[in-house]
Amino acid sequence: MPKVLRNTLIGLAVFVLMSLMVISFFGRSGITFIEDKIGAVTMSVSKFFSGVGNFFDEKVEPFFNVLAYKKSNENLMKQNEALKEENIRLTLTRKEIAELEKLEKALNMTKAIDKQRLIGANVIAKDPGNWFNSFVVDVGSSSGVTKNSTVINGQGLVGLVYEVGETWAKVISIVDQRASVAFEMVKSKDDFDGVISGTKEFELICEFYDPDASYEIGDDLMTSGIGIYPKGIMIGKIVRSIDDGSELSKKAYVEPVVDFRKIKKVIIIKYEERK
Amino acid sequence: MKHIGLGALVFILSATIFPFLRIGGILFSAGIVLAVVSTLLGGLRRGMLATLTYAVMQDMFLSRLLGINLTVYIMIVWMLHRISREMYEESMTLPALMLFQATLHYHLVYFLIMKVFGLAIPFAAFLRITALELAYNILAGGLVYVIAFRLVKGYKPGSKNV
Repeated sequence: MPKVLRNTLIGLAVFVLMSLMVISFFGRSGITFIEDKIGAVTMSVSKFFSGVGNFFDEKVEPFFNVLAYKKSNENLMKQNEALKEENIRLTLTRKEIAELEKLEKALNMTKAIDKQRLIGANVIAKDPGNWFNSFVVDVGSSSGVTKNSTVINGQGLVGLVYEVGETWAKVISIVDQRASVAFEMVKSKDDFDGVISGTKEFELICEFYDPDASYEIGDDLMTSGIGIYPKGIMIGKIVRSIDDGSELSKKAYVEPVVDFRKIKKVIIIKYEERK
Repeated sequence: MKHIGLGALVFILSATIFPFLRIGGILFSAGIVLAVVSTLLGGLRRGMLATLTYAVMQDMFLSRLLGINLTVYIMIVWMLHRISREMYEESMTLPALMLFQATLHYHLVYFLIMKVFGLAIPFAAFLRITALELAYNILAGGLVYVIAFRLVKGYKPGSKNV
């Protein structure tokens, strides 16, 4: 092959690859027909292998975790004692809660997310790399999944649907996507709110709207319903304060409640544009 | 066609079964192992076919940036081909060196591209991941190379010298 032609081809390939990266970085509105069809075939095979992997993991995992279970058992006993005390305290406030519930009804607030919007899904492929926590689920546009649908599991907020095929969808975790999530504190008193953002260091940082907000290490945070995420989904807990000397804002590090590496099943909440 | 199938199979296994083999959160890179083994034993064309199928599928289904794995793996396979031509293929030092080189290359280029897009991980985490993955890749890749070598050539690497 002549040198000029070879160099032109290499240049063209570099241009095409760079263009692909730039286009996908800003988010595509949809995937191509070929991607969709290849995905349908690949993901049906992945579903089988993923099932086999999960089956063996469930059988083998207890053998590796015998020692961990002993420690876990001791911790659970301690937690049990603490919960008994908490239970007594909560019983005393039950009357107050009943009154609040009446108020809630009166205000016509939605207590739970409309079940029609929920779709159960299995994780059928996970990012084999060591940098990110993206994965593929076995439901897609044919089940009503759309881009920007919220993904949760039993622990809390997992992330967002990034791209959607007919029978599969790509999900990116909240830590990886570095987008902002509006939060409020899971507290009856001093429940300040603000925004959680992913950082370049792949950590979550919460920033309170009120510069005089008070919090404690271990305080839980959940979605406040502002933005694309529905209200009431656990996000994480405050683990460390940030003292950046600013008097205009208050920040802290947040640890997500979800263990992204161990997700097997998720629930997708269909995205609905706010009217 | 056989090598495209191999690339697709390795991708599916790496996204479904292999994640259970994470040690301390780190997983060996099936893509790098595939690139090294297929290029050293099959040559440039077969190596490219198998590895690029893997890379395209990883980009398509699990990557945030379309084309990033494709870019890095094209460079790796080309580099492996150029270096391995000058070396004695029956020695176990060859796959170990190539796995070392390819892992380092993958993470450096990946890091630089991600840095351009503002998605790079902190440098300390990058060093930790690269060091651990290097060790895991050499162990897992070495084992796969020995098995593949026996399947392709019919004898153990280095045993013809005896």
